[in-house]
Amino acid sequence: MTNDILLRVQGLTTRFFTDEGVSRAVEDVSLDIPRGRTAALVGESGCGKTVTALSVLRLVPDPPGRIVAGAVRMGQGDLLLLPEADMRQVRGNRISMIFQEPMTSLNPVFTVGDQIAEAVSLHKKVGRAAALRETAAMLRKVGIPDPQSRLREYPHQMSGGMRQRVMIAMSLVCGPELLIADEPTTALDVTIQAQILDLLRELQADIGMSILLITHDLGVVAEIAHHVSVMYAGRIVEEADIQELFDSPLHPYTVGLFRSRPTLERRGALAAIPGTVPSPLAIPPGCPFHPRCPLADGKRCAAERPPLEVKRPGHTAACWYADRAADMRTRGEDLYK
Amino acid sequence: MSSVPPTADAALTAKPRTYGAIVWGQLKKRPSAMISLGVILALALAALMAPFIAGEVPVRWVQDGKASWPIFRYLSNGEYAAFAAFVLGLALPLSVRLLRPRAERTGGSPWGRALLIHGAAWLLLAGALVALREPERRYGFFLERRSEADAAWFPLIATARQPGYAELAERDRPPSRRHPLGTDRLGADLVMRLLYGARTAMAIGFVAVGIGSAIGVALGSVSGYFGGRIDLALMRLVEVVMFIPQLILIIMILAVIPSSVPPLWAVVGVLAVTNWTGFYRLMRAELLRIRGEDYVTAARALGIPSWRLLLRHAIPNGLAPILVGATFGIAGAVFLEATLAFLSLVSTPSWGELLNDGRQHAETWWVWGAAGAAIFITVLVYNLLGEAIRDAIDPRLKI
Amino acid sequence: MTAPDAPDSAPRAAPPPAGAPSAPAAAPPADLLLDVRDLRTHFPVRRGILGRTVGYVRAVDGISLRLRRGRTLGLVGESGCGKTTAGRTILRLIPATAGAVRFEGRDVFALPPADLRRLRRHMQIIFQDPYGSLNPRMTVGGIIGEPLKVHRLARGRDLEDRVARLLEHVGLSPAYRNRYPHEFSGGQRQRIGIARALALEPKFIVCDEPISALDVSIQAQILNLLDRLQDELGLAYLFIAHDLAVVSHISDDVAVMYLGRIVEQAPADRLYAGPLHPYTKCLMSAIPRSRPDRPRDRIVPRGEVPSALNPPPGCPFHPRCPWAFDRCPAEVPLLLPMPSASDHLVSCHLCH
Repeated sequence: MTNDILLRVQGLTTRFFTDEGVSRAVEDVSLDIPRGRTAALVGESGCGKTVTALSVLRLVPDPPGRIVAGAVRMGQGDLLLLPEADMRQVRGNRISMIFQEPMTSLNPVFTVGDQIAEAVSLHKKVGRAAALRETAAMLRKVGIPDPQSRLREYPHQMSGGMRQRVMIAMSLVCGPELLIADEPTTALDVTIQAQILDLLRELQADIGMSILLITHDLGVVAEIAHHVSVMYAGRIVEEADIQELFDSPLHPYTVGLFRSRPTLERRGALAAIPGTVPSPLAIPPGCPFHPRCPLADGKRCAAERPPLEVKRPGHTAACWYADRAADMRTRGEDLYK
Repeated sequence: MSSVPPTADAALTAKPRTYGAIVWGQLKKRPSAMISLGVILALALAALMAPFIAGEVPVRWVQDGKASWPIFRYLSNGEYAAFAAFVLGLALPLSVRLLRPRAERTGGSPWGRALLIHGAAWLLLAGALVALREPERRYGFFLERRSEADAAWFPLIATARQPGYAELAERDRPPSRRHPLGTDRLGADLVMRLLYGARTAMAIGFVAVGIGSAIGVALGSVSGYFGGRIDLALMRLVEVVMFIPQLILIIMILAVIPSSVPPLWAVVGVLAVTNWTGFYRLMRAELLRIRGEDYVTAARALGIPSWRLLLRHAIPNGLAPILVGATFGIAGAVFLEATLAFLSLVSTPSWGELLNDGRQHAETWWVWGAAGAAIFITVLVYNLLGEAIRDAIDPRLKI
Repeated sequence: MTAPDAPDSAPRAAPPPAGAPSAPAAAPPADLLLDVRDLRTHFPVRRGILGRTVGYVRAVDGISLRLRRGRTLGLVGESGCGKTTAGRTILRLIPATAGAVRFEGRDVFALPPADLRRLRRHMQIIFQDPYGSLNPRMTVGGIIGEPLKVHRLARGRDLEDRVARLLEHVGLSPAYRNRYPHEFSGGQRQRIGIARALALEPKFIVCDEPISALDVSIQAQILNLLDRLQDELGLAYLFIAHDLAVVSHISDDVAVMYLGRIVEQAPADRLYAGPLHPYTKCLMSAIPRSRPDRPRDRIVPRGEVPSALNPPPGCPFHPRCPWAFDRCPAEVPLLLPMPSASDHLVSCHLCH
């Protein structure tokens, strides 16, 4: 394992065994998170991106969920093999997580100061006064004005943006090496979203933690990610550095995601990916995207699942016709008409 | 830009599933719920069929070569009404299922038509049966003439319905073959007493909760949906009613009502007019939530009249918690009725009365044991079922 | 029956108005469909057991809009700016505090209930949440057919045919009519909601964030569907959203709302090419870059949106505005057309 990779997910497979059948939420996902950088996991609801993150932390509700295969390597060991007591040490200390809706992750009956200070004193074994001092310093660091008085506020007294800052402060007090941010700005207004994304970028430059960003929004990815993995129906279908992916997406799904976003620059009809995201209970055979894909040939795509292969340097994609998508772009043709 | 063709959708199951079907599916997964439901149905059926299980009037009687079916002439109006209600309760959902395809094509509800058909059929049948009935004869009539019959099909336990009539010789018998649960101090069979006690318990439970929940749903939905002054007035009324101690009110009413009014009715009446407040508050809270839902706003935007909005959109979506409350409510009513009878405040055949009898003669353990077990099991199964329904209608099911 | 959202209640008496400006009245164009004048919706804030009114949330505080037949007006703003309340007040789903809405020349707020119900055929609404906007106890056919039945527009065989046509129109199979909403995905539910709104053949639809709860790949489907339906049926949309990119994509004109007021209004192209109000500039620069290599020239507004219960004096944006000067907290700016372009309205002291 090279030194600049902080966390390596290998062949992770997580399934939910429900009454309706086996839900294949995450299938054979491999992912590297470099030190001090931001890796983004992009996909639509139900694609398995959140379950991937929860699997890394071993927080998948069991039953019905179970991690059936794979390894999560951090340093020497495999997180999936750690005893639960050791895993509790990893959560919060080495890896911490923030969520889309900060209100539900904060305890409404304690002040934010108490909640963060508790985490500080647990982690650093310091007294309450010292913990509160450190908490105030952390709140100032995440851009909360007047932290001394904010310490005494309850979560419901704060706005959504402030609460997300509090969550970020709380997740960073223990100095984690990896911050998993699950749709951290989806519940926020655009101007606040921009502030939070700036904050995450600054904190990373300052503290040097890695970020695993989970989002559905390619705009957010463009703002802060260094490396992108696109997920569809439980699998990674394309992976590249940010600039490479935005310059030349190879998988038709990624191309469709780009083309279906309205942007200020481009007007006119949007390209819509037809159909709907498949249920993880009934993932189509062959390439999972073939029922919606404009390049699908009706034979091979429906029968054989394309492997995730290197198509260009540092750029992998799982598509039988990835080069055709690239050709069409160089000729200026539109994949989705 | 053409529209996107819908893909063949795997998420759409083969048959449309109603909300009821989904809740039922959840319920079926709980063994305790299914056992409770079975016990409740068995209890209801046994109470309903009590004259066939334990009593003195034979089902079939052959004398001098002439066969007759005496039991059908001896059943009371109330019993016929209960039979009708029971069969209707089973037949109605079945016929709704049969009528649904037709109703779905027109977007209507199959319930109205089903109710109409059944209502007419049952009215005719009830009329015919009532016309056939004969005045009641004195007790023991058939038991005394048993030897004159060529053949007689008595109930499973052939015993005098009036305790103390014929079988003083059989008093205080422990469980035996002839009396599976024994007899009481007057020689009455305990199975029979339990069955008639079950009738009282069920009647009180269903009627009191039925009336109470109907009042609660009606007032609560008006209060929650329209709000304003109506809501304010109803809320104050609820606070006053909730302030009245139920037991003391019942005792007072029982003391003042004329003897021509059956005390049981007084109890049912008091329960109904005091129990509705819980249902009212549940329904009001549901309606406060529902009236802010987008589908209600959509219905208003579509110009759908208020009454239709309430009946078709708002109330059906608020009934699930009422079902839970009603299930718990029945358990509570059964318990209250037993308490009243135990205190000898009402004199109807009742488990509470039986318990009191047994209490005075501790050595006849089968008397108080049977009564206690009956109360315990009934209250338990209703509570178990209520809890299971509450879990099954979990809003997180996202329906 | 005095609840704020009691059905179809008439506008209530006005609390003291805030003395905000209204748009200048130009001569109405011939194809004017909807004319909103100085609309205000204030919600009383009650405290204590007696429910004494201690103040008003000025959710909508004097907005004026005009919408022509077959056109789309985008209403954009952040959460709490009053855009959703504005849409519902225009449809008289929430009682207005003051102002007037004229639909095809008729005063919507003055109509008696029976006439209002008839008028509702022409004004419909599509919702954000595809899960909450369909009655879970009704079949899809029942949901779409109900308005036709209630308004006695169709029955029996005819009703079935029209429901089938509506489903096909929004890209769903008529075979779905016996299904229940929970059996569908978010995008499909949104199509059902659109079919319901189309059932009465309206001329005007309020689209209240119709795509923001949907998956990215489905958003484009719904936007394209709305586009196509507008072309085919000549619908006019009031398109409410928080996303400037989405709004400018679908709209002919865009109005930017902040704290209950319109701060800038212009044709979509002009607004994108040259936003004038500082808040619009902030909004636009906050949109995530479409490409990672675009320069990040961000204008970040200070702090957060103040409460509509107690809006700041003068220009509502001045506490956050990077360019605020002494006149801003003192004087409410008027929404006035720019000298250079009469259809570009801005409410900012810097511009006038």
